[in-house]
Amino acid sequence: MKKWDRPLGPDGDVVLGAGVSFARNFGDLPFPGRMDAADRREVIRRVRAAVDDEKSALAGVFRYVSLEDLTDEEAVSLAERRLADADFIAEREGRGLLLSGDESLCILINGEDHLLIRAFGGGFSLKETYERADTLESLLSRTLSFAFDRKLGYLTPNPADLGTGMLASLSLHLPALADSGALPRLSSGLFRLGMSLRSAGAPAKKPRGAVYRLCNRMTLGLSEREAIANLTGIGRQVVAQERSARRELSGSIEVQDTVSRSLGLLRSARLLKNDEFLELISLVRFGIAAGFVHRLEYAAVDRLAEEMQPATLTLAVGRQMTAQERWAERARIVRETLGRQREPGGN
Amino acid sequence: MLCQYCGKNPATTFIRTISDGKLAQVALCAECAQKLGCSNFFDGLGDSSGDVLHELFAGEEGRPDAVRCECCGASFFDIVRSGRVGCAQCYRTFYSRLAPIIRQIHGGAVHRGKAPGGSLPQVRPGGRLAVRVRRRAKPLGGRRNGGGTLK
Ligand SMILES: [Zn+2]
Ligand SMILES: [Zn+2]
Repeated sequence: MKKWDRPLGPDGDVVLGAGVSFARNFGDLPFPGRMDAADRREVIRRVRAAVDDEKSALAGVFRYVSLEDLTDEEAVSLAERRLADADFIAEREGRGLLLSGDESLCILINGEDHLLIRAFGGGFSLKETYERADTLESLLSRTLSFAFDRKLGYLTPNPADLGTGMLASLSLHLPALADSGALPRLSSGLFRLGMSLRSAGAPAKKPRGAVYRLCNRMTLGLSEREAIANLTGIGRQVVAQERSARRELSGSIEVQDTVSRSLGLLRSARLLKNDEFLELISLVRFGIAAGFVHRLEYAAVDRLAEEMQPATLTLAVGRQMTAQERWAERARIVRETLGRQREPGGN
Repeated sequence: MLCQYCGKNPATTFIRTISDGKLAQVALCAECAQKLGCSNFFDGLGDSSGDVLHELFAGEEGRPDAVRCECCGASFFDIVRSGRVGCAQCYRTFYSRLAPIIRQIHGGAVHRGKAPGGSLPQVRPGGRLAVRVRRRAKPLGGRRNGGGTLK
C-alpha cells in the first residue's frame, strides 16, 4: 500500500507510523566496517540472489538501488523519507538498498550491518509491522545464513544490538508534551525502562515539527514479541499523556488563534523556509486533532510534511534551485494543496 | 566545543544528521550521546581519545604475536577503537575480553528470541511465526540496569 494510503487508524492524531528493523550479518565475511570492495560485492550478490530467486516468495517484490549511482539529492531524500539514516547515505561506496514498490519494505545492504531488514506501517500498527518484518526476515533466512550464537543471539558489529537485533519504533507527533516541557523528564524515565524517546530528526530539545521517535533499546534477554508488547504498552501511555496535554491546550482561545494563523500563513505565504513550514504544519496537524481545523486530513498534512523536505522537493521539481526558489516552490505547492481544502466562504 | 543538545558539557561524540537537505553533524557530550543511543560502548575501557587507548594497548599492538582474528584480521584494539566488532568470528576470538562489555550493556542476559530456521517452524504464508527460545540460562551476574550504562 502506498505510504499515504496506509490507514492511520484510531491513534492517527498522535501516531504517525511504526517501523521494525532487524540487523543481520553473515558469519563468513567480515562485518561492513572491515570489508573490502570484493566483500561488499559478495554481500550484495548474495542478497540480490535471495530476492531474485524465482522460486522465492520475494521474487519481483524489490527493486535494487545502488547508492553509488545516486545524486546527493536522491541520497538525502532517502534519509528525509526515513528509509535510511544519515550514516547510511554518508558513505555510499559498496552500499545498496532493496525497496518494495510501495516503500513499506526495504533492505539496507552494507550499512552498519550486512543487512538491515525493515518494514514500515501507518499509525499504531506495531504488531502488524513487526510481523511483516519478521516474515521478510524468515523468507530471507531460507537462503541466507545469518551469524547466530545460542546465548548471544544474532551477532552484530555493535554489541548493543546483540540478541534479536531488532529495533522497533513508533513515530509520534507530540506538540503538546513538547510545549509543556514534560518531555525531558518523560524521556529519562523511559530510558530507565529500556526505551528511548527522542526527536525524529537531528537531536534537539525542541525539534521543529514536534515529531519524536519512541524505540526499544533492549535486544538481549527479551523475545521480539515481548519487546513489541512493551513498546506497545509504553506507546499507549505516551499517546494518552499527549492527548491529555492537548486537552488542556485546546480550550485556550490563544491556542486556537495560533493554529488558525498558522493555517492562514501556509495558505498565503509566498516563501516558506523548511523550519518555518515544519513548525506551522505541526500546529495545523494539532488543530485537526483538536477540532479547530476542518476539511483537512492527517494524510494530506503528513504527505506535505514529507514531500516538502528540501532534497525530496528538489527531486520532485526536477531541477537545481536556489534556496529562495525552493522556498517559493514549497510555498506554491503548500498554498495549492491547502487552498483546495478551503472551506466554502473562505476565511 | 559544547554539546549541541544540553549546551553544558564539552562535546565528544559527533553524529551525522540531515539538515536542510544536506548531510550535517551534531556534536554531543558523552552523557547526551548515551541518552540518545549514540555512544560507543567501549568508551568505558579508557578515555575515548586514541592516545589513552594506545597506551593501554601499546605493548600488545606492537608485538608480532598480538592476537588477531583469523577471519577479519582485527585486533582487540581495533574493536575498541572503532566501537565495532570486526566479524562474527571475533566474538569467539575475543570472547573473554568482550564478555564483560556485553555484560555491562545487557546485564548478563541470554538470547530469548528468534533463531535461524533449522528445527524451528518455518514461516507459513500467513506470516505468523511463533519462535521463542524458552531456555533461560542462569544469569552471568548483574541484572540489566537500563542498558547502556557502564557502571
Ligand atoms: Zn550534552
Ligand atoms: Zn573478526
